Amino acid sequence: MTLPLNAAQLVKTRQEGGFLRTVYDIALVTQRNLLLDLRNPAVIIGSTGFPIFLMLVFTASFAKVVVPEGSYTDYAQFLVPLSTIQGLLFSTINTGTALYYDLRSGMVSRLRTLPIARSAVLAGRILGGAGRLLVQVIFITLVGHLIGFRFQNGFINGLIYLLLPVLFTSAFSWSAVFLAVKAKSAETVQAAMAPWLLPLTFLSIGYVPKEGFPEWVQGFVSINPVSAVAQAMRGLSSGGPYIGYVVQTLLWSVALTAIFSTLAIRAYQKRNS
Amino acid sequence: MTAMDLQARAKQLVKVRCEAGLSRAIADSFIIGQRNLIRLSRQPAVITGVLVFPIVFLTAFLLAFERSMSAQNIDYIQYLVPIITLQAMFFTAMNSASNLAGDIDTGMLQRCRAMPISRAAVLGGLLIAYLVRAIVTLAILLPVAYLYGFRFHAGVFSIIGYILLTLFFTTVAVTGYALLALGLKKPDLVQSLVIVPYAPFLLLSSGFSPAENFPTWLQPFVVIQPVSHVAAALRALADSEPLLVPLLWSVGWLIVLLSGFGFTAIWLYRRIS
Amino acid sequence: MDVMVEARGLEKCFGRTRALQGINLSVPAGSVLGVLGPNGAGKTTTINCLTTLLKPDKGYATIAGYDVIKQPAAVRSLIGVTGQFAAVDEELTARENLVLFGRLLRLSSVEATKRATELLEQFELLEAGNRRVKEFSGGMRRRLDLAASIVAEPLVLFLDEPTTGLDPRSRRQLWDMVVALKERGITIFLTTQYLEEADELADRIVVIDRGTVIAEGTSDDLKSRVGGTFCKLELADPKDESKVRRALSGLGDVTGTGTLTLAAPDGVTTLSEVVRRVDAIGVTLADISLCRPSLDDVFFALTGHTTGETS
Repeated sequence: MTLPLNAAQLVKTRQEGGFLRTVYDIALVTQRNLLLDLRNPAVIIGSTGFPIFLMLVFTASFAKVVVPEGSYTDYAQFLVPLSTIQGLLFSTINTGTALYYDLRSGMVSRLRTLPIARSAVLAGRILGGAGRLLVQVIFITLVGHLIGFRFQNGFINGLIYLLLPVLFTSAFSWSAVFLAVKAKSAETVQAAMAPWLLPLTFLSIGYVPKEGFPEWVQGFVSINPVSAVAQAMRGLSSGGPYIGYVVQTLLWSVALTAIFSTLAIRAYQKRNS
Repeated sequence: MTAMDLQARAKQLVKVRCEAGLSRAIADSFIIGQRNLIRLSRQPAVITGVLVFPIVFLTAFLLAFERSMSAQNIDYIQYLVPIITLQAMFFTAMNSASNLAGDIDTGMLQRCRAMPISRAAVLGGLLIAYLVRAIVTLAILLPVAYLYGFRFHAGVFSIIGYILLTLFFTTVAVTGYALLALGLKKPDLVQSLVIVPYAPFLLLSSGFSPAENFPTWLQPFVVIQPVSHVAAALRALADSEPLLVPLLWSVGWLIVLLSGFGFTAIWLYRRIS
Repeated sequence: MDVMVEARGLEKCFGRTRALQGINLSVPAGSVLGVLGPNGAGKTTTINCLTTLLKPDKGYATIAGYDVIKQPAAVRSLIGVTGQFAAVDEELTARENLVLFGRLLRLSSVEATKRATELLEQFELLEAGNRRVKEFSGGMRRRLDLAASIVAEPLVLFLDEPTTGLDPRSRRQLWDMVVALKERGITIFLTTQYLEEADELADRIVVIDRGTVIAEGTSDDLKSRVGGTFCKLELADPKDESKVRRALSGLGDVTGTGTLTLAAPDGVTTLSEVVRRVDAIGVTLADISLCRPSLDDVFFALTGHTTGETS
């Protein structure tokens, strides 16, 4: 009877664990999520189209309000960074609902019974999301180019400009993942995300300069992480100081990841379905 | 049962359960409306949608743009509340589309269609429930707006007029969105496309920013489209300014849209499978 | 007028797909018709045409003499429909669901509440009556769905695959309920993929495939079309085979090796004769049974393919 030997062998060859195994597992799950996005282009088009539309509308309707003596192009140069980060932040709702549907359909249960790294499901979701975010950044920036937005600060800075919001938003999307694990319906994810995405993106140095806000809000506006990201991106694209803002953004990203990934993983392990 | 008995019983049932007539249409609509309201009151996402969303939007826009707008001599709270009201009504209608698509998906609509109830009852019931929801939204939004400094300058009649015009607008929006749900049927598809009518009509309007602030080539659309007119009429009602022109335009638009949407919706409802 | 449901030459196309290609059927008042066919055969389309949900391209159909195309409103007054997916409100309780449908069917609030309690009791849902439907199991949902379609007693009840996806116990419960409804004189039009279900519930069976009726009759009629009852013997010792064959000569053709079969036109009488003769020659049997062809065999004999395959 060779069965016990076989079992031992199987455990040996298939058991999860180890750094390389974990990375490999995460990569596979990420690939699956990216493939799903690729098969549903409508989702990407929808979640990219809306921020682009918002950007165009705000340029059209508020340029003359915010920069009365400037041109639409001037406001575009100012607005595109914020529109980009706003668009990305709103698409974290998609990351959340997609995960929710996975949890409900039993896909996640299947993955959990496989001998793959425990972190693969959630981390794969975040990384797959990051791939999509990068596509969105590129699209939004291209449209921004059409209305007059330009990189005025060199190629390397331009590259950092594209990656920084992806990094920050990926960190932020842990909060959506946390909510998805907790949520009882897909709408709950949406309803729980939107009320604080709105103030975060609107009450930031993005649509209007800090001086445009009433004094009592200015405090919030300056510490708002979205302000930091927007200003870092603005510096990277248009010139001016940005190192400080980039560092702030990175610190925020680390903090958000640390807090929400812990919460999400804990909630995920507690789930019984 | 003998043949004669059967014939007589069939005749009697047909007579008692007959679905035609206006009073049946109204009675059936109210029953279905009541059912929709029970459902709405049990969806947590709806409660945030009704309570939180409009206020968050109002606050965010007010804080971000009030100063810049006052540079253009615009009292932004008076200017902004009408479009925030209409936006809340748009959200209401968007949610009605998701719920109707859900009913199509679960087979509830088919069940109703095979029952001896008025053909208008499903749409009527949808409308009744969402008008109630709209009234609740107004009852929350307007007092908050008052706290922020919004005033009705022409007394009780202007308040009543404001509410009636808003509800008429909601009726049109719900009917229009019902069309979307009946045409697309799949809830997730509806969910991702509800934004399509919302974006151009609400955002490319003179509701957030006067038409003169838009690029010249966009101004004709901004000026002519219905949301701009309704927002202008609501503003005129609150500010006690000349009302006739914007009101005529608004009502004209709404009647045209309602009859178009209404007939198409009933036609689609009859032939849906 | 003895016929409750009648359809003549119903045709319906969806684009290029010819879902119905001339369906003819009739259901006598008070009886149960089982419509049997695989997925995609046109069962649901037939129900949709008969319940006014869909307008057929050609042909006509009547319910208690009322034309489903010309008098759809009258037809809806006579029917109850339970679709393939349990169409009840998840957010509402079972009781609220039933009251809702009761009121839509012209009962007053008081009557509807009373009727709801009655039905909850009858369908063994009384305890769960005040719970929201989303907490219900599949079987409970189906029962509630069935209850919802008879809130106001219909003359004809349409059941579209009422037990698909149910566990055996829930299925048995639902069957009992259908039988009870039949005993109250309600005419039932039932579609199913399960041969066993049609056998159990239906007075007459119509087999449809690719949008046409390919066979019609009672369960026994259909079975006899594939050959009647036969007797199956399994010998304890295969070496006795030739002895047994000799003993049974004159009763009919004996076929098979190891397991022997022979036609049993007289059913049990044949069976006991076989037992007597085998006993007389002192041979031991491992097993003996009287077999009737299953409806699966019927379907295969009629269409050349099994119920699982459509094309």
